[in-house]
Amino acid sequence: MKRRNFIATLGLATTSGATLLGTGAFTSVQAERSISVAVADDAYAYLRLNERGKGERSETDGGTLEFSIPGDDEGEYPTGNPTDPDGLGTDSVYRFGADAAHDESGLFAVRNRGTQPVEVYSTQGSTEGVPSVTMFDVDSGDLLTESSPSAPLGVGAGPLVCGLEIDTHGVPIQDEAYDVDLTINAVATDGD
Amino acid sequence: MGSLAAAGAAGIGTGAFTSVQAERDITIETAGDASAYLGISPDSDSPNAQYASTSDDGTVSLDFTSNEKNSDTGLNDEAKVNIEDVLEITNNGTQPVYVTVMVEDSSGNTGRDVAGLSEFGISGDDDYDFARTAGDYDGDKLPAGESAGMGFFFNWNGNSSFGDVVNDIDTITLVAAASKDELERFKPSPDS
Repeated sequence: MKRRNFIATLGLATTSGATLLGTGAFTSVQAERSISVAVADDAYAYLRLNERGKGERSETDGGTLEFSIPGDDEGEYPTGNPTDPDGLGTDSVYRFGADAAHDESGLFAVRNRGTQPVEVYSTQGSTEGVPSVTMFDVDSGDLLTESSPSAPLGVGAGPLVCGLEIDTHGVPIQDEAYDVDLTINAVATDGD
Repeated sequence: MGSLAAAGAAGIGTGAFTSVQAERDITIETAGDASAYLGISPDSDSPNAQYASTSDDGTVSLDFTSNEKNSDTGLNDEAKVNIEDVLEITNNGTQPVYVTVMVEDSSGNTGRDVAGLSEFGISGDDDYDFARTAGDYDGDKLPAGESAGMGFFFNWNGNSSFGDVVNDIDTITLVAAASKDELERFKPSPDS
């Protein structure tokens, strides 16, 4: 039953997706229904998003990557002498370049399983009154933004290892956690 | 919207996606300075904590602006003033960090363009020494779970005066970085 619901939702997504891509070719509901859709978990999609480390600041919920900072079990790290941060201070810029366990660099990795090299960057709809989040390349330290995206990530190339920079300037401290949506964009480069 | 686009792109089924936008959730907790990842609080064991105060929302601020002779916190002009253990800095993160400060004036100048190394800086305590300012030497790493006192020194014995140094400093940014590479990002530029 759950599975049926899931499929129904995917159908809807296709409609929106087709419209978003601006094909303009679909004028009827029937035509839209005829598209065969396969949606993969983040870990197996054309644009692959994988968590790094032990996943103490990230989790894969229903195949989709999510982040929690601090992580639910962050109070267990570092092993032996654990700290238990309540959160991020205000008027600060934090960079999270690894999981709380620090057994591997990066919070998440991006891989390209499409057919063209892509430039990767993040955008955030509104930063009004909420922390602003930007992904960064852990190896170079460069923020990946629309005006300054990653170098082209080749098909099948090694992963782009990423972290999250979180800016809390002007963000009030509150008991309730902030929920932020970060959009990870991958755009095919011109030419090849 | 973002994840719908991702589904749509997959729906084309060629594997040649021209753009993918994947929207992912991030939950971010905020906390007062004392219990944030980088814990900042007036050093409760020290009389010099009077130079620092905590506001209702848990944010710590410093006030060295008074040179009133009658004030408890007045700084002597034409003197070398070293005030130890003003703040207690606690590493609530999961990695050892170098701790230092970056100074900035209202025009955006940093480092020695604002205050010379001999005019202003910070100190650690007997156990952990902090780098005097960003771009200077590294100091000691503060292990996760440990605290150290942070002091401030002002020196206007020579050509500079209270007004020159203190009034020029618009913001003092505390910097904590897990690696020297990270520290480099806060090095004043140009390296004067």
